[in-house]
This record gives sequence, structure tokens and C-alpha cells, in this order.
Amino acid sequence: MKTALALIFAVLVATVVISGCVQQAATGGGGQQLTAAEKEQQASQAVDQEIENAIGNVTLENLENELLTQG
Amino acid sequence: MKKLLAMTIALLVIGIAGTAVMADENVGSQTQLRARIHTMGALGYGIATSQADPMNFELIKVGIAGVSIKLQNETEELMKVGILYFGESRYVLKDVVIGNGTAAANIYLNGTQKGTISLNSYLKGDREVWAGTLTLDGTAYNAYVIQVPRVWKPAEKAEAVKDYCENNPEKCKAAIKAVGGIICDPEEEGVSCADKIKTFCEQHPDDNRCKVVRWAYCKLHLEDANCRADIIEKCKNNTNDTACDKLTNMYNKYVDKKLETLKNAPAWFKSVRERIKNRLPGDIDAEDGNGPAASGGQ
Repeated sequence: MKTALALIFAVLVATVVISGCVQQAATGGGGQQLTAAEKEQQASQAVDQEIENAIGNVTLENLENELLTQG
Repeated sequence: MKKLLAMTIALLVIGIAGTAVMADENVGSQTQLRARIHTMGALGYGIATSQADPMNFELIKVGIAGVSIKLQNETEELMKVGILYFGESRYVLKDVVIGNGTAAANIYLNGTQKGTISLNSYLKGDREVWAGTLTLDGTAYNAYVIQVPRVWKPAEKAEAVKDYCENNPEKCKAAIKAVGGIICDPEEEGVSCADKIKTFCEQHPDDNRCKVVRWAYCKLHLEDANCRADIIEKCKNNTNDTACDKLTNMYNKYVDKKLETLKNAPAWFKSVRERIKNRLPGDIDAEDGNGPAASGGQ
């Protein structure tokens, strides 16, 4: 009986410890900071997304049509 | 004994499941990064032709913008960045400078500088176009880009309103009062009034009070393509607004150097340009209290 209780206690302690470790790993060691390079990359991706949304795949034909329309 | 074993296994399963959920939540919260376009400088596509060899040309796509970055509770940070597609190759633009109708940057590939780009905008028909130079891998090109229309998102519009109200609290309050009831009173509220207005305007981008403040912001931020597009739309129907004068003055810097570009300029631009020419210097400053100097830069 005592052994079983000890086992349950050990399992609970292990679970709490593992949980803490996983949380620590997920948050990058407790801090949630991005480096300047990572921020720049995120900002560039936002601009890239704008290009994709507003322009997408452009061809010489598209360009020619635009220029002809504008006279 | 069997009951104890079953209980142990059950606790183990609950523990592991709980751990997995917590880990998932944390990974999720870590990605609560918000990158939002703050100032759209140039966005379009066109062509780059070698200055030495006209047969050497390439399709290009370019986006140059000020982007606000915010990670959870961190302070918002504004970064100017850009992307250039030269044919199929993708380059990152750094050291970006966005001015009133101008955009310039250094071109990088894998952290190594490969060249530079410098563009000026002017009006051709109803569209804004960019022309300038681009050097890449030692070759000099002339670059021509057609600005494309984009949807100015409600969150970005609200950001512009907040920006104006933070920097011009009294003018913001007066502008809102002029067209309707006040959204909040800076003197009475403990929280930031600009933030409250931002939240309201994000939810009600078409509210007249939000529109009027956004318009006031745009008059001071001709470097923003969203603002230029709005002003161009308004000037097509009403050339009397001072914003038309300011935008015309901006484009005039280029037109004055190349008068032949006036041939393809829209009617409203020619009309305002003529009016400005016949006006005494300083009149535009007196009209709305914002001189040309106030309309520039970031």
C-alpha cells in the first residue's frame, strides 16, 4: 500500500516537473523576445504578403495592358 | 492493488494531457506577434531596363513600407522594410527611406548588399507611377513601377487615427466634435483617449468622425500611399480641398523638372497646378495651419 502511494506521489511530482520544463522550452526560457533580425524578417514577410495579395503573379502581358490603358 | 494501479495510470494520462495542453497554449501565445502595415510607401510592379543595353530588362515587383511590430506586451516598434522581386529572384530591402513621393533602399540577398534602388512617384492618367534607378550586381537599370491599389484595412486606418490623435489631441477633438459627438474627452478619461478612439474607429471605420480624423492624418502624411490614393480620389471630384494643393505640390517637384509628364497628368492635377501657380506664396500655410514642412517625413 505504501509503495503504491509512493508511486502515485512520484508520478504526480514527475508530471509537474515535466510540465514546467515543457512550458519553459515553449516560451524560450521564460522570455518572449525577438531579435532585431527576427523582427525585420516578420516585417518583411508582412510586405511580401502585401505584394502577393495586391500583385500576385504578374506577366509582361499584364504590364503591357496597364501601360496601354494609361496611354 | 489493481485499483491503485488504475488510478496511477489515470493520473499519469491526465498529467500528460494537461502538460500537452499547456505547452500548446504557450506555443500559441508565443506566436501572438502582430506585424501590421503602418505606412505603405511604394507597392507595385513594372520593369527594369539596363541603362547600357535595352535588351537587358526584367519584370520587377516592389513593396516598401513602414511596418509596426508588436509581440504581446512589448512596446510597438516601427520598422521600414521592403521586398524586391527582380524576375524570379527575391531581394530584401534595407536602410529604407520613405519620403513624400520618394522611396529609396539598399538591396540585399542573404545578408549581402547587392545594389540600391531609388524611386520617385508622379501621376500618369489616374494612376500613380514610380520611376527611378536601380543598380544590381554592378548593372545600372532604369526602373518603372505602376503603383497598385490596395485595401486600406480597418486596423491600419484606426492606427492612423490613433497616430493623429496622439500627436494632435486638441485638433483631433475639434475635428471629431465638428462632425458629431465626442468619442472620448482626454481631460476626463483616465485611459488614453487615442486608444479609445482607435478601438472605436477599428470597429466603425466608416463613421464620419473616424473619416474626418483620418483625412486630417492624411494631409500630414503624403508619404503614405493609402493617403495619396484617398486624396487622389477626393481631388477628382473636389479640387478645392487643401490636400489637393499639398499633393499637387509634391508631384510638382517632378513635373517642374519634366514638363512633358504634364501631358498625361489627370485633369484635377492640371487644374490645381494652375491655381497654385496663380496664388501668392504662403497662402496654403494660412488655410489650414499646416505648412508644407508639416506635411513631410515620417
